[in-house]
Amino acid sequence: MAMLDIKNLTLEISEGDTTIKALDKVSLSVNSGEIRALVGESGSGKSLIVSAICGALPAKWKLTADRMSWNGENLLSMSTQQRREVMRRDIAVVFQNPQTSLDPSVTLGEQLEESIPEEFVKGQWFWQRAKHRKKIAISTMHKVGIKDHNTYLKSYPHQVPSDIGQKFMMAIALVAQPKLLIADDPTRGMEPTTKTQILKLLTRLNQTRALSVLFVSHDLLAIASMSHTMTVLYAGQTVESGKMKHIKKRPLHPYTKALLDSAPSFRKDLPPKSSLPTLKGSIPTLQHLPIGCRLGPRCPRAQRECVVTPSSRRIHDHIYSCHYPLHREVK
Amino acid sequence: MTHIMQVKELTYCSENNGNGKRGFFRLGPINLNVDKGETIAVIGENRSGKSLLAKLLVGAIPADGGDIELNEHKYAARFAKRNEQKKRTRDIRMILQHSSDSMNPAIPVGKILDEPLRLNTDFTKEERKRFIEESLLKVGLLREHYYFYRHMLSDGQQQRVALARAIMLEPKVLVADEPFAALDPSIRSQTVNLILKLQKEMGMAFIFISHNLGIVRHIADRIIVMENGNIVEEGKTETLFRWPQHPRTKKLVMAYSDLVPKQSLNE
Repeated sequence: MAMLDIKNLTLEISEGDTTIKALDKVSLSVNSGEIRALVGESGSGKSLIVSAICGALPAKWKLTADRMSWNGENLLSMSTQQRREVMRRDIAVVFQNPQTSLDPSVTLGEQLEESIPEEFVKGQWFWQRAKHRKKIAISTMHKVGIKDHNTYLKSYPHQVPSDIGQKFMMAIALVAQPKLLIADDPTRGMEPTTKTQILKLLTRLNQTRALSVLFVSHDLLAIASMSHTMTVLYAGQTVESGKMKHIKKRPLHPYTKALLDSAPSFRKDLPPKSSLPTLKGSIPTLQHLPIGCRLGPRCPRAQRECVVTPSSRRIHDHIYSCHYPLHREVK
Repeated sequence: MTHIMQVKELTYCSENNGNGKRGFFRLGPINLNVDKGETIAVIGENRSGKSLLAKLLVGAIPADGGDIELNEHKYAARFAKRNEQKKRTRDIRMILQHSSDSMNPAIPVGKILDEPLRLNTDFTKEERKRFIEESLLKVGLLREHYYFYRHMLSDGQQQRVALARAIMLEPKVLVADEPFAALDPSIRSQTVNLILKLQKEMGMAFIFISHNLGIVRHIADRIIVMENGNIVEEGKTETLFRWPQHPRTKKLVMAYSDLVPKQSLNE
């Protein structure tokens, strides 16, 4: 059963007298115990979805959805109090940029200890509790792979390198033992060894504690190695979603195929230095979104019908929205 | 095979303020030969001195010692004279990591591209303009982009402008610091293709730093592995990926292949 279930999420931003649909009928669900990857290039609205789930969007942006629920409870009609409770205990978020999302005026240690829920801390007296709190903080740091806890507990966010900051964000997110972790591009700019470490950590937590992960990224290599299911976004529309295995083996949407082709590591038969297959053009900006299927102008298979937004179709649990998917012949 | 660039005993020490105090980061001594038309990838952990090496090669940071020989033209890496420096700016060009940050937001693309020409060539104004338009076409932009400002361009286009600026003076060697890191997958492949094409046309050597071992494996002829400011391993791409020798290389290659093997497409 889906823990997080989002259906037809639409986000409209009004600027003066024009309205932009930044997200257009996005559907996404995360089942318990699965790692779901959310793939998309920059400007596809990945981070907007993350903000929408945690309720961090500006109030004047209009957010509508047919369904947006967490364990059966509607997130949109929830009171602020309830929502905050859910966000504190059940859903944890690792934001994109550690340097800007950590509090610059407080040491990392204090920030980490602050996010430990009271009921985890044992001890009757305040000194016992403080001691236990510190113990939890240190063991969490070790878990995410920070070895030198003494230095980093006392340092401020600007003093630590960005990969440590990233791991710290993870530690803060994981210390409350959430049921769902939303990781917004947690491996960006990391070197391969650290990246593998982080991915292994997520996989391990997923297996041992049945933590569900929503992994938001455009690093296909990382995604393909760990996630079970994948949702592909393009310019605010869900393009394809389904099991990782199926999508990798037989992508149905032209965009997914282009995305998979763009990573040379996926293909063993590619001769070195040959040119990579690409889609022409670049990602449209929010102000100049094409109508209908937003891939339209860049799509090699586009036809006249593509100016109408394609409805999503389903083959078993593989959902795609395209008028001319790859398994069908184009006339 | 003739080397077009030879680097001998290049050293650098941070915090070296002339009074004999030795700092905490030492680079080198580094020896490196670059052949014509060759692609060399530099890989390594963060803080291993990769970016520093790139900056030393182009002369953005003066080195403490050593020689860089380019096309039978010798530059003492330490005491760069002005006219030598000028020759060097023509022969080695660089693409910086954040191409958008390296462009002046207040002047249009044409002006940005005009600057290196004005400083390094004797072209007249009209010749320069024509030349810039040709370069823009070469990297897959349009003539109109001459009048565009930075904020009007997308990431990929900005990268193209940075590339145009780098290849305009027809350098022998192009140095790039993580040119693909900030790009999205589809734009990244476009850039890779473009660089491959230009390299084939112009026959320049290309030295680049990257974390993306998939791309490294795809386009590099040779790989240099760095750790703590030293080159710890150097070799042909396939050899290095198949039989890594140094522990650092092993670690990097392992980390990469950990992600790869499960994903042959036709399983």
